[in-house]
Amino acid sequence: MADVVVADALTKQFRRPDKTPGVRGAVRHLVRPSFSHVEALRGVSLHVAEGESVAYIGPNGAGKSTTVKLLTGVLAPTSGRVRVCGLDPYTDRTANARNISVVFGQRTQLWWDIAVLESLRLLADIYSVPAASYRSTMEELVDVLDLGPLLAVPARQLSLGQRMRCDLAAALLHSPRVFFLDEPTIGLDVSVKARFRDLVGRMHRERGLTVLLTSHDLGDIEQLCPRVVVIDRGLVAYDGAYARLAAEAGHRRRVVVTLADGLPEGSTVLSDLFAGEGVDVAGAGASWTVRIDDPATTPGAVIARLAAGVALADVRIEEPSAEAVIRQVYEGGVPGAALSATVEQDRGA
Amino acid sequence: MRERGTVSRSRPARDVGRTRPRRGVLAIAGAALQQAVAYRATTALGIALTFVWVIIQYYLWRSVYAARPVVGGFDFETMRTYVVLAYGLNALVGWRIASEMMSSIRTGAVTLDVLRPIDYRTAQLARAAGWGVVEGALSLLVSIVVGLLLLRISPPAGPVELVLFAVSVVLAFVTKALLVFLGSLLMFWTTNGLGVMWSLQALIQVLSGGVVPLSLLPSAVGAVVEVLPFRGVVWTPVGIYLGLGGLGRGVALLGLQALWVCVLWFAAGRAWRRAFAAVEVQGG
Amino acid sequence: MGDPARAEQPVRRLARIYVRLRVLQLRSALEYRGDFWLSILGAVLQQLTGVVFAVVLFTSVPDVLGWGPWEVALLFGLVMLPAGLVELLSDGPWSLRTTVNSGSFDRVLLRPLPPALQVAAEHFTVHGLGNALLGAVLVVAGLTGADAWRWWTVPFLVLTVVAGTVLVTAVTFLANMVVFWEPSATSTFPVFVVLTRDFAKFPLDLYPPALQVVLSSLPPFAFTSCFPALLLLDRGGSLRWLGLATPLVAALVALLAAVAWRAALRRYEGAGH
Ligand SMILES: Nc1ncnc2c1ncn2[C@@H]1O[C@H](COP(=O)(O)OP(=O)(O)O)[C@@H](O)[C@H]1O
Ligand SMILES: [Mg+2]
Repeated sequence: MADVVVADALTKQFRRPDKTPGVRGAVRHLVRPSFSHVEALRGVSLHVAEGESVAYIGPNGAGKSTTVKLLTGVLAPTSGRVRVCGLDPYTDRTANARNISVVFGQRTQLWWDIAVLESLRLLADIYSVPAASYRSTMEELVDVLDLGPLLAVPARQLSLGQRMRCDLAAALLHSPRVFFLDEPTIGLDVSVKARFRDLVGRMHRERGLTVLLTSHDLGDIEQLCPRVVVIDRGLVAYDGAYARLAAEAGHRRRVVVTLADGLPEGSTVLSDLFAGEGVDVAGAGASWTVRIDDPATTPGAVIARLAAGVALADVRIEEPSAEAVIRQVYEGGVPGAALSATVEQDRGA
Repeated sequence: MRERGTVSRSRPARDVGRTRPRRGVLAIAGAALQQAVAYRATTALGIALTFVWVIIQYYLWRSVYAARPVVGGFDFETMRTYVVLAYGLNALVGWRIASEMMSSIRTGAVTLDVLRPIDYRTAQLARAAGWGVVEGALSLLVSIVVGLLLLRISPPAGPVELVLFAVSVVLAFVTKALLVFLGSLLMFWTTNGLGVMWSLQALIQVLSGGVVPLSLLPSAVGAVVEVLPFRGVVWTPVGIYLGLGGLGRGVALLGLQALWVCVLWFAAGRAWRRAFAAVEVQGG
Repeated sequence: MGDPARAEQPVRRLARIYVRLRVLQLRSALEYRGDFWLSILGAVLQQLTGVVFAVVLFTSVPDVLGWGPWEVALLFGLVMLPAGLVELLSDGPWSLRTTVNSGSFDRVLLRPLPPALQVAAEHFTVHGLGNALLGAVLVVAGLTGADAWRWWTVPFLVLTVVAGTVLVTAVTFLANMVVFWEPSATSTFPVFVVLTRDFAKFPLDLYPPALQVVLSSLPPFAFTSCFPALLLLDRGGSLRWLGLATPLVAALVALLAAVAWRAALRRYEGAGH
């Protein structure tokens, strides 16, 4: 099996002290401590093949960060089994650390007051990167991440976007096999986010990196990861291709057009163009929307059909809103059984 | 730049506020008091913490006096009393207040405080008073009670001395708060609050008589230190409590203490305006 | 895996990286030059309050329980020198409370280095320099003034100071480790533990027997100064031979700290956000 990440039936319970506020509560807690248990994970299984890129998504508190901490050896699972590159990350922490890398959004691992280059050198030393591979990796990273002008600058003087690039370099310097990113784009502005996704995507393709990225930013998923794992309240709610998820959830692409000459509401001029095909037409005046219900129909075909019948002023294709899709998963709107059946199939693709 | 903007905008508000400044002062002191109560566990531990030095001094002096009845004009009972009171008086304005002042200057709460319809100096003192009531008064009380019960310190020299002592304690509090305030202004030029605070506390400790009775210092040094404002923090109130040199001298010392409070009060105002202006010019 | 860098002796590699981390922190500290000197000044002034006290004391009385000014200077020095060295070499435990509560301790567990080494190397407190220098001066002055140099003084001092540094490091770790069990945002407990070393700046027989026992055990700061000083000054009867036990006591406390540290790491749950 080429699975580099193997997690079977992971559970994780946290102890949370029950404290009544005030001095009396504190004293009582000291004398007879009582805890309640938070079940962060309730049986998560996850297999990731070498070179795969997986998005791990879920609402706040779903257990994403906890999963990452179990997979990276920061915490031990309460029960279940973890193997990353064949090692138990918790008991073999040091060896595992050389195989993996982790980026936490908004937390840098660079030293604040010294030049970026020195931080990178020090990290190379910490990870025992041989001189030759340090040189070649640095060359590549400086080139791809455009680090040249940043190397001499202390981390505290970098903008958030610049720091993110340097943090990527710091994370990839020891050529990890598995790359975990926990909400990496949180707090970045839109253009920096796009650049960041682009860079991670390139690293994934060019270096054959296995990527596991947690996010609740749906842009991350659509662009970076063909495979999506949705987690909700400590359980995997969906595991498979994003496109499939959207389809299962009943969300379709739409073609939104602005007509050169408006049509009255209820007009059948447009729907007549699609007699017998799986589309749904609605609108009034100049703006109309064609929803594509049949997966076999492409937006291109729809536009061609429209252009042949009426004069178009503007055309736009709308992807299903991932937000809406995911929300539907959380709300149990997607039949779980049907989805699990698709998992194996999607992973093969 | 930003600060200049706030200042000019604040002016009308200030003038309006002038009509009822007392309310504001009480509000600030009250808020600080509540904060101090909320942190009472830490406060209590802080009191215990500095008590280490009292214990060391107690046993040290006990051994010293085992071999001789009088040292530097003090017998053991007087020295015990001195050690306990010096500790309590120094705690009147503790670390907590000092670090509060410094961080309020550093984190730019300065701009908020400047907006208040109250003189900045007054605001800081009011805040210190709020903390002082909990932290300082508590540790003074604890040390006097513990002192009277366990270490058998002397009671005040007499009822009049007790009254004078009470007045002197209030002045001691204001003196130390103003000294700390003046030192905190250095925060306009450095971010190293800890360095400033340590230097400041050490200076005040030694020069106030918080470490050893000033009468034990070599006479040349002692003569200078006797007239500096620092003595008002420890040496003056303790002297009054013990009735050293009689009532007349006690009243005179109280006068000197009050005089220094006035001087420090004006110095604090001037220094604050200067420091603020200097930073404003730098565009900080 | 077979890359050549990993063939290096593990201990040497760790030592080298530790030194690199330290040098780097020193350079960061020097970035803020004004702060640098202010820190040293503050620490020296703070320590000087104790020295002023001792000096004034001995201008008024010739000795305390037979200990003169030079003997007490030696005690001061033997407390301050290891304390300063610990601040220079391993001041990181003081930030454990913040890193553990904020969850940034995660990072420590993600690097291929022993967590304790990373924590030790985390901070560089320049004021340790002031304490160490003042401590060294006081030790030398004390021994000279008391005319107590003998052929074995220097090797014994080195052994004692190294052991004392280990002991204080272990105690600092132990005192700050409580955050793993008691995670409140601030705590005066570690400061309190470490401040009790001030007791050891004076002869032990000053204190009542119960306190003497505490000072030799919980935490055993008396082994950094009081007992070795007895041996160095050739006094104190048979109690002086406890001065030889300092390395042993340091090793025991270090062992205790190591065991507790393992438990602490197992206990770590991250921050819930
Ligand atoms: N150290 C901890 N102690 C107590 N509860 C925790 C801890 N870490 C996480 N949790 C809880 O576990 C659940 C999952 O948290 P997390 O994995 O951080 O969620 P996510 O990253 O998906 O937002 C939450 O309810 C969180 O409050
Ligand atoms: Mg999270």
